[in-house]
Amino acid sequence: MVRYTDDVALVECLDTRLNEELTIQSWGDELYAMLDNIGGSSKVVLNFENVQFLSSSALRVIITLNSKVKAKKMKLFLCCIKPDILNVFKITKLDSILNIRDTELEAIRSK
Amino acid sequence: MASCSNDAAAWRREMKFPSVSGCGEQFVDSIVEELTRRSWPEHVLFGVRLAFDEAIANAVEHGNRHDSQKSVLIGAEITDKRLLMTIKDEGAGFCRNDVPNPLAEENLDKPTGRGLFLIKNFMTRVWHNDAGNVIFMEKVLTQEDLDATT
Repeated sequence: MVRYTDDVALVECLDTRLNEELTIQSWGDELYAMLDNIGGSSKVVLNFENVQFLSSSALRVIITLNSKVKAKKMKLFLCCIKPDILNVFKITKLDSILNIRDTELEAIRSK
Repeated sequence: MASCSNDAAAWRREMKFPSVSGCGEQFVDSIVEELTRRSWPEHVLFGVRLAFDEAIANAVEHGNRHDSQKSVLIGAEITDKRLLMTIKDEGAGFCRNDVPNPLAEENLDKPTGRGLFLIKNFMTRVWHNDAGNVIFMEKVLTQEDLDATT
């Protein structure tokens, strides 16, 4: 689900589990399509509030999305990530290449 | 095909699934259910489920190369402090030295190649048979696991 506010595209992940290949594939397709149709936004915020579990297939989509966002001279921010999932970002060092914020508001306000 | 042990202390299951994405979902649910019954903490269960998912994905994708005519054989043995999961595919196996380090600077922004790394991080010990088509994943529950919140 995407909401637009000022120059930000806010994307809420509705699935609680991002581990099944078909779910992830359609999630990725939706995100990439959203990016293709985005206009006037300088930032994409991906809210993980609902997500309880993810696998490396979901990381693949996030990394690909980050590259696509960068290619459009925009910025991707992730927020509201549960501690277990945040730990996955830390041990894979993805927290060093992705912009992660605690809350949606912080993500929206980030430059 | 399933088998159960009569041993009251140990829980054992073995099942064979067609090699398709998401196979074994109910199997891992039953593992998590049994570990929950034995009071394993939530954050450890997260790691167990993740390791299982990654191993299944590797078996289906890299082992059986998405051939649904092939099978994945899954086994698990649980006691109060130890879990052993085995996953066998019908592929030719792989060479451990060929797996790139996902933490290397040049690999950090690559979309794939983190599955085995994650398995090793969440399990106590991980090993393969010589052919490389069976993975053994052992998790020993420690006091540190019980003390940690995440």
